[in-house]
Amino acid sequence: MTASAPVRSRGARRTFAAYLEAVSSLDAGFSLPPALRQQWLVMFAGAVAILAVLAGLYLDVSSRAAISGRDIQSLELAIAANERSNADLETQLASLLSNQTFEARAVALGYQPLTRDDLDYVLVPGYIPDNSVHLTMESQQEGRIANEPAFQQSLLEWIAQQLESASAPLPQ
Amino acid sequence: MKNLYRSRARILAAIFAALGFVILIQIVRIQYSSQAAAFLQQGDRYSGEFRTLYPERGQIYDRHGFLLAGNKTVYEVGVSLRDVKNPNSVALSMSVVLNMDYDTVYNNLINPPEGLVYMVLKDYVPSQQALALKDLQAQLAEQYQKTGDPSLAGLSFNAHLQRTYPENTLGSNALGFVTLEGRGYFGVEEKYNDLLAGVPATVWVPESPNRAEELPQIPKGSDLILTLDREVQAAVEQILNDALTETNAQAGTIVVMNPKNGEILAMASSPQMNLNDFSNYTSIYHNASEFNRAVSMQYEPGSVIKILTMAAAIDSGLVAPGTTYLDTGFYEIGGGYVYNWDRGAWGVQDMTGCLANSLNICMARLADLMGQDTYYTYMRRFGLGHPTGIDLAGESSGRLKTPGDEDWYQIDLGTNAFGQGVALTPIQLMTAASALANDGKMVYPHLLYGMVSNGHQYDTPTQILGTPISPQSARTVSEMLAAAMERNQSLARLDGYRLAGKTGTAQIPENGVYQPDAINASFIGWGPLDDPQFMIYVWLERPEADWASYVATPVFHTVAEKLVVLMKIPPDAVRQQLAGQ
Repeated sequence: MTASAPVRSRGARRTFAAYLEAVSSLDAGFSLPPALRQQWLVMFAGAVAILAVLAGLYLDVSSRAAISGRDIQSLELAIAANERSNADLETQLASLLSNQTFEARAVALGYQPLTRDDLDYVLVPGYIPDNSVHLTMESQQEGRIANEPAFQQSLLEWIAQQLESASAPLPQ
Repeated sequence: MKNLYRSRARILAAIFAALGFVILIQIVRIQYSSQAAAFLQQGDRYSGEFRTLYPERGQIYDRHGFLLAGNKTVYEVGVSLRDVKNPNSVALSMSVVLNMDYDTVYNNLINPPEGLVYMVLKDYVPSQQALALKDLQAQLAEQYQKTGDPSLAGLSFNAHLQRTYPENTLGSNALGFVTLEGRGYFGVEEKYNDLLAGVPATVWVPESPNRAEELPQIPKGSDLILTLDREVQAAVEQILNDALTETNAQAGTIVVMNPKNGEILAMASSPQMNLNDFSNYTSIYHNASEFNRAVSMQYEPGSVIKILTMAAAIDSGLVAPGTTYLDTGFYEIGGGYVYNWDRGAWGVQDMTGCLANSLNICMARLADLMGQDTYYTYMRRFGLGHPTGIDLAGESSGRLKTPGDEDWYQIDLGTNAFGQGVALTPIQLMTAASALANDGKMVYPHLLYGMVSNGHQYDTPTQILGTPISPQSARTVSEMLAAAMERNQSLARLDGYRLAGKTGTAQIPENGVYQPDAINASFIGWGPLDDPQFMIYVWLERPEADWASYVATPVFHTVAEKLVVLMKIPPDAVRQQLAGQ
């Protein structure tokens, strides 16, 4: 039975040598003069502090984004709930105004159905009955507000105007 | 000693460095491994979900803006199986509040299917019941916070919309209904299902709030404004139901249309059903054509079709109102004989008398004299044998046999002229008759007044289907019908208003034989004569009467009397006086 000794490859030897060199450098660092060592330490601490600040900023921004995201999600739910509520209310109103309900109320109040004999027709000059049906608000004119620009002048124009008004002579 | 520690520290540092290096290598290797795509996919899968957003179904209004079909909130009550603390409480509450079977719910909760994490217990739960359950859940959670028994933990409520009809049965035959799956059946709901339902959209909704975005706004389905007038519809349904009771008719239909533009003001058919209980459909109707007889049920109309035969004869120049003929009591055509309704001979008759007395021989003779080509050309122009295209689901096309058809015989020319051997729907005859009331122009019957989509209203324009006869012929026939009603003191007449109309009594064929005691009683009429604003069609199926003039004509009168009030139509004299001022 034979046993072969571990053979180190040339590459492994080189890596180990480089590692030893790095460790030696680090050792050398500990043997630096105190002032220089302090300088290194301050730089290192500064770098850590900057990293911490950046991390903090990132956390802050991401947490704000998460809160906004949650707000969006809850608003979406609120919008959906409001839409359902609107539909419910409209249906409830329609039920209260339904033909059956109206008729029952009218009968309970002692009203009688209108007959031809109850009718008198009079001419109202200028009156033209409007038999058309409109379920939308035509007077809304959605586009007008949107098309109107929020600002009428550029920033440079505004600055020029402010300067001009500032340099104008005071009224006597 | 110091060197010993140093060498140990170096070895330890080397080990940790090697470990770190291995970890780095592994990270990079995984990124580029063959499983990397699967890992990424898995990560994406759990980072959100695809959600289908269904738009709110559009509402349906009558011509005055009264809601006929809307939506209401209902709840899907489900349970998150992992969160259930007390299945007994859940099953008990579902049993008490939602009338569900306790054992079924309990067993489902105890032995759920493999891998199931969420179970729907009941859908379409009304708001009141769902809110009662929610309250109970909150109360139990508060009272039994520590022990946790009893508890409704795990119950969840998912709100959504369901179709509802505030007017219940009103206009049911024309409206149709929407099933729980959200699909429209019959009437307007089926015809305009795509418009009403809108376009659903599937969007990716991330779970992470960091990636939350505003969901796209899905526009709701279009709202529809119908030409139906709620008040007229209610009155017509009431009159129809009363007529069915009084005449013991098996079924009936009344349709009211504006003959100038084809707007359907009311469409009632029997039986009506509460659209909110659409699950009763199969117990109310035996087949689909019974849902709305006005458009889906074809029948031999009998003498009401004589107005079209006379219009063809007048328009073709064959006869004039004063043209006379000798009625001998029979007429031979195509190797057979046709007789009058009383099998009598009426002697010399003019064309108005022909209509007033509803003489079959007169009509068969007119058709024969016109010739088959001319007669059937006119009938085709009137749209017989073709669907009108009315915007309701399930319209029947009727049947008009014409020369060349295997089952057409020469005698059909004579019998078709007085309404036998031809099958029509009420809406077909109304469409054809609109040419008579509207200066020869035949209008497209429709229920859609307009639609509202994205805040804009789009109205349906009046469409002319054709001009089968000249304006002069139309006015002549209308005048003849009005004169005929006055001549025979028709029960359809309305004091103060000149109306035009015609009865129709058609025996019902069974196994090829006309039954003497089973009739379809019809009446079609319009008014006021000089400015027609309504056209009424009445059809009573198998009433306990021999003649339509006893059963259908009074119904027409009642509807017309109601209409002039509801539509604010002054009597002729007042109207002419007002017009003169």
